[in-house]
Amino acid sequence: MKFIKWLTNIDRRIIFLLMIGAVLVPMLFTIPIPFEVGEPVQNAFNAIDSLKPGSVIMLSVDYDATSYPECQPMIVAITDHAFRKDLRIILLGHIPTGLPLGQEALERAATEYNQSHKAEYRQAVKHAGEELKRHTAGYQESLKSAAAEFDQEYTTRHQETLDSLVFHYLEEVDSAAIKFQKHTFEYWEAVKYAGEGFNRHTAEYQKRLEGGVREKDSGYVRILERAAAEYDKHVTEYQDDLGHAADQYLKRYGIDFVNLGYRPGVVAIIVGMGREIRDFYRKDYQNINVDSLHMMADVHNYDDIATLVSFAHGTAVESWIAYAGARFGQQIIGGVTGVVAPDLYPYLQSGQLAGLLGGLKGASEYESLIKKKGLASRGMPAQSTAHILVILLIVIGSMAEFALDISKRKGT
Amino acid sequence: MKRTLPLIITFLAGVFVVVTFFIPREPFGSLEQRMLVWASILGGFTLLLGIDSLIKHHGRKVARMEKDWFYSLVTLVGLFGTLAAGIVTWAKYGTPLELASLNEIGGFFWVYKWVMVPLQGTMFALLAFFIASAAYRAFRARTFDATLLLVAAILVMIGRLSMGVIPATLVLAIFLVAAGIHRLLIRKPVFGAVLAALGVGLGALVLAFPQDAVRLAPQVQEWLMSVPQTAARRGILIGVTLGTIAMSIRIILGIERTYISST
Repeated sequence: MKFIKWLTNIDRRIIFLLMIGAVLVPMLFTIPIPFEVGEPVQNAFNAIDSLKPGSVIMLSVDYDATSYPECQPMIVAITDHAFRKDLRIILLGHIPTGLPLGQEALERAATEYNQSHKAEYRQAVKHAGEELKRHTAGYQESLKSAAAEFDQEYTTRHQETLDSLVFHYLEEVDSAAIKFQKHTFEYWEAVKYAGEGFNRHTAEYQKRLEGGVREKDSGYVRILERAAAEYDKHVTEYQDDLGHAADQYLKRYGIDFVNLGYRPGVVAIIVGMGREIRDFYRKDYQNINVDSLHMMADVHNYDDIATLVSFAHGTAVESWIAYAGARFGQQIIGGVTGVVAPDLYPYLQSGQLAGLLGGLKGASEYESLIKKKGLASRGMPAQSTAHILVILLIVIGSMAEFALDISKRKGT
Repeated sequence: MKRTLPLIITFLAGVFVVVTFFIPREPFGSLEQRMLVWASILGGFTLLLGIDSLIKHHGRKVARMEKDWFYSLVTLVGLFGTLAAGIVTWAKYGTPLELASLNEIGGFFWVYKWVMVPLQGTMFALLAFFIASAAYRAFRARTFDATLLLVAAILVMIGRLSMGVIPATLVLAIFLVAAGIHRLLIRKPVFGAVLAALGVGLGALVLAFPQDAVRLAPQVQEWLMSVPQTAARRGILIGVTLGTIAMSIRIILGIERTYISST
């Protein structure tokens, strides 16, 4: 009986130690875990998976570091899924101290995507460069034949200048690719800058060339003009090819994703965005004008947003449902902590929520659907052992209580 | 007048917002949008009020060396330190939210990532220990209702396990048998027999069909969440919403005036 009494009043430090062990030990090992995906998570996955490439999804970061273990794997997994599906992402949030976590997830997903497509991108850039070189050779041939007819010595000298310009341009593009392979937006800016410089130089070159030969023969000038126009067309094609390659293989800020940042006033903002996003977000989180961001050109309100996902540890999802969902018909998915998930089941059943990721389990199920083991899959064994410990403690505590109760009754 | 004017403003603003909500056509649509922008701007000023209140409260405690003044000092250092980190990062990059500051000691994101996130995470992680301790001490199957709640809670937890479903279910079966024996001994034969039989049956089924138990556990959890839990939650939700509507009408009509009281 002494033991039973001790058991009912066990020192809580022993419980704390047991909990540390239950959480730490599974983290030391890699434990394979099979998952049966629940309907709410499957529905969330299907809602995003069925969107057309180019569709815009809005991610709202309505949690902060306190819910990092549960909500961060969700935003990482959904961002990863969205990039794979070529969806465009708008990030915003109602908790200023949580928004950087969303930005971190976006940046990481974009970097991972760009890294995994680096080889294809480089191949595409190389191919475009070779095409340009091939066309340049054709241009030089036409110049040569024209020069043979008119003034060989003069044009040969200028061909060398053109060759060096092309070479210099390609060199700048290559060095930008090496320097900015992680910061793709800057890279694209550098390529654009190099392209503008090249066009300026070639225009000057052509002017000088034309001036030199004008007096000799107007027929020759016409040949040069035709060849130059042809060449300009190929340079434009080359830049287009680079753009297509970037669109296909790179995720860039302003083109594939934006972060609108934080604005105070949850309900006012949710309702107001139904009319015009710019009324509340004229500038993004880095103070860049929203109108200058490429992907925002055709995004004004909920009509332009295919799905909204709110990652929350409070009542934010309910606000989105009440104001964006009920009033504007916005499709909404919730990604919430395990404690909040039960509150949202009524909305799930009524169809006001298209899907729900609840707690670490929901996040790990989503990871299994996108076939990528992340933070949640790694954390699930630790959570499971902690749950088992809590179950054991409840059962032991209750059984000790039963024994004490019976002994008390016998004593009286 | 001091009380009447706020009541008139509240009444007019409340009625106006309700009317514009239900009439989205112009000019109401634009007016509503304007009001929403105002609300957002006012929200920004509440942040300033909050900062002002925080500095005054903790500044006073530090100045008078009141009890726990040191914690107030830490709060103020944290507030101004983060502000300084933001200003330095802003001066350097043109925005305080430059991710490159993550790798610079004292940068805004460095403070966020390596000070604030771990602190918030630690505070929340402590919950695991307190929940375990509280569950052990307080979650006892003393009555029928408590037993029902406890069994449902354990079933939900089992359904969310990624491993260890069978041992956890066996623990539940043992608990049911023990609870049944307890009820039998305290002369509650019917309830005791039902619990004991449930425990024996559950244990036998789990041992006989372990694979099915693992497969069914999440489904049982899902059923509990989406049927009985949702039914109760929906009732609460409807009640809360009706209460909110009633309170809103009381505020608009000036019946509820606690928000303008000076205390």
